[in-house]
Amino acid sequence: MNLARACGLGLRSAHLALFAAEAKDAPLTAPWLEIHTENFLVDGGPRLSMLDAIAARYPMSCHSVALSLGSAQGLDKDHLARVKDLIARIKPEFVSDHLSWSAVDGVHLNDLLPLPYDDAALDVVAANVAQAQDTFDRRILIENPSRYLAFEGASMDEPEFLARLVARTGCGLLLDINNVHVSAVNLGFDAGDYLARIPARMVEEIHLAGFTPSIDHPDLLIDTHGAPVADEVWALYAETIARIGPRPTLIEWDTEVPALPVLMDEMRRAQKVLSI
Amino acid sequence: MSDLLSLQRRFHRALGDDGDALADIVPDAARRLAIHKTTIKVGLGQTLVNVFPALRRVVGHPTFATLMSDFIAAAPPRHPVLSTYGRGFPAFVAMQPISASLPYLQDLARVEWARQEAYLAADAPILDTGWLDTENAEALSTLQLRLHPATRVISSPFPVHRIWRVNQPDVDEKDIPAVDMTADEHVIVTRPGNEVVTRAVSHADATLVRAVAGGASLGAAVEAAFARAPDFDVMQALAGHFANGTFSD
Repeated sequence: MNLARACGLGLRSAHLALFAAEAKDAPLTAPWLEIHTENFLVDGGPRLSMLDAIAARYPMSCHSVALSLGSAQGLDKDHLARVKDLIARIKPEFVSDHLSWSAVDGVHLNDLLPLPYDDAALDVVAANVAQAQDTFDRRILIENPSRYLAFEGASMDEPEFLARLVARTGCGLLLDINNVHVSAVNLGFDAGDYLARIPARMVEEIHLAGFTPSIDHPDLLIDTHGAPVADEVWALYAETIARIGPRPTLIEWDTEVPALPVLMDEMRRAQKVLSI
Repeated sequence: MSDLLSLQRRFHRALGDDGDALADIVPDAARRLAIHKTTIKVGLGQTLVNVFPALRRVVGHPTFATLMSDFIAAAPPRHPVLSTYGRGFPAFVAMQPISASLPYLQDLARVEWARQEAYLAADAPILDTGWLDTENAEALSTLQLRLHPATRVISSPFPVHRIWRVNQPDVDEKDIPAVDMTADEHVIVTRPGNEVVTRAVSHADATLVRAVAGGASLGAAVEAAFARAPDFDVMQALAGHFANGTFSD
């Protein structure tokens, strides 16, 4: 299915019942939907049966937040197997996770933690991405995370790290333009320069979301996914699409999820950019 | 910086020591680590708030926030799927000073955790009376029933079902009736369809379900229930189980 000119929505629990209750032959509310894979790794119950009903109608994307592809201790095989089962169950168009880590010594820190961009980290991430792709028997997409800190001694920046990761593993890039903006403000680099260095052929999907300035540290932006897409991010998005061509785009809210019409407005705005 | 594992261990430590463990390689470490720390704490906290709303209402939001934050520090998640987080919360609550004055908190938490497990448990067909040859008493007594994957049994020396019930959102906090704390209560949690059902049952009935869960035949389970209470109404109890999906076929 060609979703290049289609803007989809992040499917959150607040709207699950709404989508699941749609008539089988009703027009689609959004061209495609993306789930957080881990929210559906359950044995059964209504959450899973609603997902089945939705996946029967909509093109889907499985976006993981807990594969921990940057873990030096490797991937959790049981978790990989469960993700693989869900992929087999709902047959998504895209499977993705982040350029980050969250597990160490058996503890799962529920956040997308940053990696030092050096050769040693690249070896680890490349091996883990290859293992995930082998397990799922398909290509996965890797998303650039929002970053709040940098490690001294890094030997490359994020665009270079991503390009080398793509070259080594054949994975694709899920480019989150809001995350580029948030990282750029927090770490003091130019978001436009970053985006200009991302080769068009790497980008398979784009995320758009909103940020919130930190209350305690107003100079830092927090990637809350709980606000409308900011004007700066819309501008970077339009520039990027003009340069690389249309790509499947997702409107993503995770907190303070608004009513569906608000999401639909943002979806239509992205759709306009994609249609130019 | 070649050793990623030692860096990740230091990062983990730094989340608990205001960034000290990373200060030499991360500029402005304390302030920036604080953002990750908050994200983790808020995410796990929201998970516990969603699973234990009645407990939160009983102890009040500030006390719950303290319990939550102490639990997160003592028992961070060991599993990548967040819906499994909170299994250890009832036992943790039992060890906290507040349980000395509110000793039923642990059991209330167990009821709420049972509801979470029931909601996410595997699907299975429900056993209802249509399956039973009620004319054949001998066949009935040797029948080996299976618990539905969603079924949970909780026994408490406190009226835990009533405490749970009066702390649901449909009961205004100003109108919570007095609950007689001297009575024990037993709760069966099931999921016959899409909704989780939380029922108070007699001690004898809980005994019956536990016996079935332990592999006893229906006859032996009924005997165990009668041993608990000679006036046990077996037909009424079974009707309740068949109507609410305690057993699967």
